[in-house]
Amino acid sequence: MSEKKRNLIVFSGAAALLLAAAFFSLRLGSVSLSAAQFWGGMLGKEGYETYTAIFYSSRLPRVLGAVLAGIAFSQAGTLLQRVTDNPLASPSILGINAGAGFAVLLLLVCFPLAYRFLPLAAFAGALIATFLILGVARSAGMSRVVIVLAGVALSALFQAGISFLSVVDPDALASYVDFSVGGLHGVKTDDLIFPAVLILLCLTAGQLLCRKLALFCLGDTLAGSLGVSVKRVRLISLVVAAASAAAAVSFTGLIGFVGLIVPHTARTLVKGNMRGEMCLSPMLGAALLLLADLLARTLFAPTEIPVGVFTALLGVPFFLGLVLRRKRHV
Amino acid sequence: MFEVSLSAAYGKKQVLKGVQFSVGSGVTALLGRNGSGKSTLLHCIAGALPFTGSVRLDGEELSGLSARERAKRIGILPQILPSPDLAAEEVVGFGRSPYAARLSAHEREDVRAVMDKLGIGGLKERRVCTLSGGERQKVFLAMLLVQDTPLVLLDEPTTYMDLPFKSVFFSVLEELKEKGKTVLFVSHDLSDGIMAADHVLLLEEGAISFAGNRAECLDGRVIERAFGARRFETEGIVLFR
Repeated sequence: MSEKKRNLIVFSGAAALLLAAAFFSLRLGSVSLSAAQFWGGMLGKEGYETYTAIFYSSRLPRVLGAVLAGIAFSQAGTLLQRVTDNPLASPSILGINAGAGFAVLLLLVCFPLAYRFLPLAAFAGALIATFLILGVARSAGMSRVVIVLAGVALSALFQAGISFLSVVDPDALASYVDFSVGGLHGVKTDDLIFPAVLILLCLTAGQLLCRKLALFCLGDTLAGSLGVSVKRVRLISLVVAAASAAAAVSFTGLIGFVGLIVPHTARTLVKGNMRGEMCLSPMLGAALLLLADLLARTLFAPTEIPVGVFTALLGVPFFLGLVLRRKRHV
Repeated sequence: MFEVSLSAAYGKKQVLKGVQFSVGSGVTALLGRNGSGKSTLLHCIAGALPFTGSVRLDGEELSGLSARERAKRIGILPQILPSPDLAAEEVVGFGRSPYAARLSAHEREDVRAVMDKLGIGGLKERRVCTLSGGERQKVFLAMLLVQDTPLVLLDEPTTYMDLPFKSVFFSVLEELKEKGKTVLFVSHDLSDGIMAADHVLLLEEGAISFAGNRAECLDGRVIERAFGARRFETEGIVLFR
């Protein structure tokens, strides 16, 4: 099969999956909407006020949140795996999760009633952690090994801080658990405006970096000899990845796996083509998070299961299947 | 004219101590013992390592250029090659990336022609990570030829080459010479290095200890001094041992 034909099938499949996941996420939930209720609610028809309220105040923000977070985590993972040339890189490697977690718990310990500032604390914590790591990495010439090691070390430091704070204030820990398991419960459209702008800016920046990132798989010497300013592109990519993931963490909490497995899946499906990977990865990330969220809120309704459970349950078997299939082909 | 005057250090350890030479177009072999600083010098010239001093090609200072402009003037074949999970043809096409975002139809034809010339036309679709060391070396040599820069840096290019490919490689060097390119060829293999070269540079303890033509180098004393190897001839072939 020619590359063009294969890519057409892959992208059509991903688009169909994304649209289907969004459609069912809007219709299904603790109250499932019939076709008439769905269209009536969406169009704001008379007599369908209840469904309009469900659609616009609950379902739509949740779907938008899942799509944005899926895009953000998967693009961040793609960028990080490329610039560190490390298949295990994901947003957590830059200390994003640990930094956000520590900042949220610190806020809950210091100001137990300041719930409305949790997204801001998460965002700030994630970015501060990232900039600390970048500071260390820059002084070592932006070496990819140093980035990974600094990320692991500072993550451990923030984790130690989280452990310390949870012993100091067990009540704050109870509130922190919600954030640490992640999810899209209670997301409002207003909460999404700032993250959406940032995530879309990062998505654009990622697409612009695409051509240069493609050369990182050749190593620093060859990428540089082909016209890539290696240190600068690495630094910009890390900042874009961190900002993107931090924006998502601010309204979803800590959702794992998406940034790790989606980039691999996309890369395998487009056979290493960088532009294809950068386009497919956000689509698959959004679809995965939509499906995971749909299962999380419908499977044991009205009890909601943490969405991270389903990103792993859906993503990991598919991912392992691809890895094994690829291994057989090699 | 290619002129180099530079020093470089790894931390406090001075690796290149005021290396100075100037050579014309053609093939220049850069010889030296292990650890003498050959690869470091090549990487400094390529802009992959920091240094103090200057690197000039035909009067133009290359060290101050942007990465993209430098890539239009200097191409390198490193000693340690990567194994990307990409089709060989795509990797060879990367050679045109300093010039344009996408390959034109004409450039695509050039990529195929170079691959055919190096005998790797049949590997176009193969993933580079599945190729042998020698095949990978051919792929990256093809990428370098497609990059088509006036200055070509080769770091131990013959390491994985079998005899048939060595003869193809030496004919490629002849072609580069005819096109007026400046080729700097690092080798620890004296026979390969001297056979290919018009000029020879010897690097000892981070400085150039000899600069001359092939005939001067082949008289044996230079090599004996630099490597402790003795020149001898058997059946008309010059060997060093």
